[in-house]
Amino acid sequence: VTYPEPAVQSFIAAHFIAVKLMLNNPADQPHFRAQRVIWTPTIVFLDHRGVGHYQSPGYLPPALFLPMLRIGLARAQLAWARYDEAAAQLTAIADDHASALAPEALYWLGVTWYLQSRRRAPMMQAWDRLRQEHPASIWAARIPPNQEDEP
Amino acid sequence: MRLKTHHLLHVEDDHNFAAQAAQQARDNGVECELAESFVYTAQLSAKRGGDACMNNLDFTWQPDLSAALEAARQERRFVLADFSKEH
Repeated sequence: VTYPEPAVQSFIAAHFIAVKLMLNNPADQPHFRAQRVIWTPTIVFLDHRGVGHYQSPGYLPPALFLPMLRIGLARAQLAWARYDEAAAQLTAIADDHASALAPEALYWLGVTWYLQSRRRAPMMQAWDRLRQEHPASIWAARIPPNQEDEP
Repeated sequence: MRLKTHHLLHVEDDHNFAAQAAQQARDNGVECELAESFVYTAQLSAKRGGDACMNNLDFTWQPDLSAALEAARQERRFVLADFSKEH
């Protein structure tokens, strides 16, 4: 249902190598176990070594699937220290205030900026925005209290 | 139905492959446009471009995880793995 959407297609074509793994196919079943996938469908973002960096269980409509792809891509890029690329993906979602994934994007944007700079100030820039723009979000709740008091 | 692929190559062999796949798609009643806006140099991308026209998508599914991981290594990309079930 989601893949024929042109924006989804072009994003996948531009950024990913795509593969379908079928539970009904005995040759694919070990991959379900290796990636700890217990439900279908589940989208898993892997690096070229086969290490999974993000999972998205269940179906999503295109309006949510596309930002989910960006977050999954960013999480994989983050693990490989591709900080600028990750920040670009996350910023695109964070700037869409209406997106249900904007709070998660802002959280990981803070993490990205911290890992890139090893400084709290850039991280807090994203996290302050998260607390201001999405105060009721679980992602805002993940921010430890009194972070701004530390250097 | 009008399709596009973003994987047309300028390498002669790959171009031929993509063009042949596009022609085959047209022969099957599918209008297939090979967009030149994205130029890749890897043969693998050329093959995927041709396959994409055949599969009605801008991208193609790799045949298995090993092939996907190898393509990801070559192209410095990440793998989008859709764990599904046939109903």
